Amino acid sequence: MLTFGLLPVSDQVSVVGALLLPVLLAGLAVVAAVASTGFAAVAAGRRVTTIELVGPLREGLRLLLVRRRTTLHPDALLWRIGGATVFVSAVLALAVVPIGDRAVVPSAVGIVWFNAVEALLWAALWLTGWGANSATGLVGGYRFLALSLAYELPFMLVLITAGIRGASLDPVVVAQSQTGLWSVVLMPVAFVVYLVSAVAFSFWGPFSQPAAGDAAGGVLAELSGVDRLVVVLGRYGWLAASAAMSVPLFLGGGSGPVLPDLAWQLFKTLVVLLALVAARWRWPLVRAERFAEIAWLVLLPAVLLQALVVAVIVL
Amino acid sequence: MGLTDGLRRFATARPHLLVVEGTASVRPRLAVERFAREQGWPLVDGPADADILVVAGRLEGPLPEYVDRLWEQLPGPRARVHLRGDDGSTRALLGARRILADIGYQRADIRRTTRRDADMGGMDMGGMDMGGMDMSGMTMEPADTPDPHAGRDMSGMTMEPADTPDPHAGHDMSGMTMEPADTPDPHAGHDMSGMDMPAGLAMAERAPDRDGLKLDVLTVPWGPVLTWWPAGLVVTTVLQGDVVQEARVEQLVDVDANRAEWREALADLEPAVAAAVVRLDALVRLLAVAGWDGARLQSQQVRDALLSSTGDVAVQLHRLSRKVLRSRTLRQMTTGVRTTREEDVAARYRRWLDEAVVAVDSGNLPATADEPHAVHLLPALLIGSDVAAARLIVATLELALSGADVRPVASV
Repeated sequence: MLTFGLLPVSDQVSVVGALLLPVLLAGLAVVAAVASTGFAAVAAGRRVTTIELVGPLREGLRLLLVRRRTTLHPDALLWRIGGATVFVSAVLALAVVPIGDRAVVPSAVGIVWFNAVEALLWAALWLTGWGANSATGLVGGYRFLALSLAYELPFMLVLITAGIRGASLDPVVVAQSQTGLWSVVLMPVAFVVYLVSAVAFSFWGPFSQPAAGDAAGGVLAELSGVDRLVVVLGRYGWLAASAAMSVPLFLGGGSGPVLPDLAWQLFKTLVVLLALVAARWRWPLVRAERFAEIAWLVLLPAVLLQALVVAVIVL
Repeated sequence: MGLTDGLRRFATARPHLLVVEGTASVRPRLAVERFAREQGWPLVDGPADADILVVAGRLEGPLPEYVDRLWEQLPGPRARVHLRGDDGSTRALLGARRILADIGYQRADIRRTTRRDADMGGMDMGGMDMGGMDMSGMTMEPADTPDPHAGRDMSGMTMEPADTPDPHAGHDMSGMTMEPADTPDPHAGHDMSGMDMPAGLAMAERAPDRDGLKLDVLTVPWGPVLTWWPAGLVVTTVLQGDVVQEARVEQLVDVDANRAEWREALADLEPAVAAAVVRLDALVRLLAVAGWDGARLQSQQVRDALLSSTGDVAVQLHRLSRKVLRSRTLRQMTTGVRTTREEDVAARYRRWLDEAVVAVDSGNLPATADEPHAVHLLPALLIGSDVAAARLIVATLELALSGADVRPVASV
């Protein structure tokens, strides 16, 4: 049963799991933020101490203390909806990621669902930029749309390639199909493009042009207080959700020696998350118009070829 | 109360700084940048994320009024410090942090703001002839309680005159033409009937763009307060999408005074080391605008080490140079973004780094000087580039624009 846009639920949704999902996502987001704080301290030549690493906690409290602000004649409703969607869509993405051997919302088309909620970010960031009624926000919004034109097609093909391996769009089945050989070995190009896309739709590091300082903060320019907190948390949340999803798709799910499946899954997730966060300190900003060239002329053909190779091997 | 106070102090332990550069801002700016890097206080891009407004140097001409308006845009809790010379910046910043956690002070600040807004809200605008008025210098800010009819009736809004455009408000209306509305607005109590102006703002006009499409035209000023931007520079751009169609440049600070200030800051250094410092300082801004925080911070470390003659600077400089010159991404993103002479942005940072390395290694002064009249070249360079490229181009002219192009005294 493959219906795009609907979520066919193959099993009972875990209510407790659904309630805990935002907490789990926020937890992973904080881990990402702590890692980022550590990298920042190293880059600035400071020692990495406990005081450095509680930075995200301090920042969170600070943003709760800072008052919200508004601009002249904002489209307030769309502005707030846009900001909230960044976080909410990350929670929805995590819902279909298998934890152990089942997702909180088990679905036969979990991979498509993941892709669909990721596409919500287009609207979310555009509205965040547009709603503030500020030119820099608008520039940030434009930049994200340009970026999405570059990463989205390769990303979709990558997800499909991962699905081909398990002959299913259910992440649980895809994870279980990788006995003996992890997909990352079979499809390294797809894995790399997955990571690149994850950094891109999380508008993070080299792909943070929509929120970059050269446009005075872009989509984030006018956000303060709790409004900013929600978007920033959502951004780390998307990094975390993408890292979590990469494990069943490419890294053999929870498989591994000695330790229980859940421990392996968490470990692999954290390793990928750390790599995604580190990208910010490793590379300069990649401008959307130049990345589009690379994405369409290099990444897209490479991923198509990868899909072909995987299909031939699997069939 | 002990717990609340403790949390408040914890939350404000590393305040975010927004730095405004006035005339002779070099030494205080370098001090703030160093302090911020060593203490982990973030430098932010705009007022929305700022806790402390740091004014470095003297404010002259239209700048004081501009900074007052910028101050209004900090959400609060907030504090403001003014730094001159190179002494006392640490004490001033720590003092400002104390004010952030001072609940009594912050409450008084809120009361002051709301009272002023209330006074302004009753302002009679009926007599104003908006049609004939030049609105280029005005920015309007909503009062605390948004008026649902704000689009029609402008009571409830405060209007503050601004002499200088504001990059963060994005509401500057200079250069916009107001179009007559088809149906006069029956609710307009004052003379606005000839215009279609939601919330008193003119709508963006449309014009054909380079691809033959009709696109919105927006006038957006950049500067004078923008992070990693030459002191006091204002570039008023006409944008379509994010492509610059027109650009007008002015400088609101005395560049000669800045040049003298640079001499002062570099007075204790060997001429060659001084030449390396100004190049690294410009590189810091270029790397920041290119969005590479890792290399930017590394560059700041080397610059600060050179300034205070500490550590094994040559090794650090070589490491930085290798890292930046090896980056294929940075090269790809900056190649072909033209700046003056025969150089593109990639060639410019490569030359700066090479000159800095040679200066520190062998004590030889750079043979070339950056273009002295950058400010006149700027508009022609910016037209046709997008915002990101425009920022890179401005960053490559940093030495001239900020007065850092001092020839060391020995060679004059």
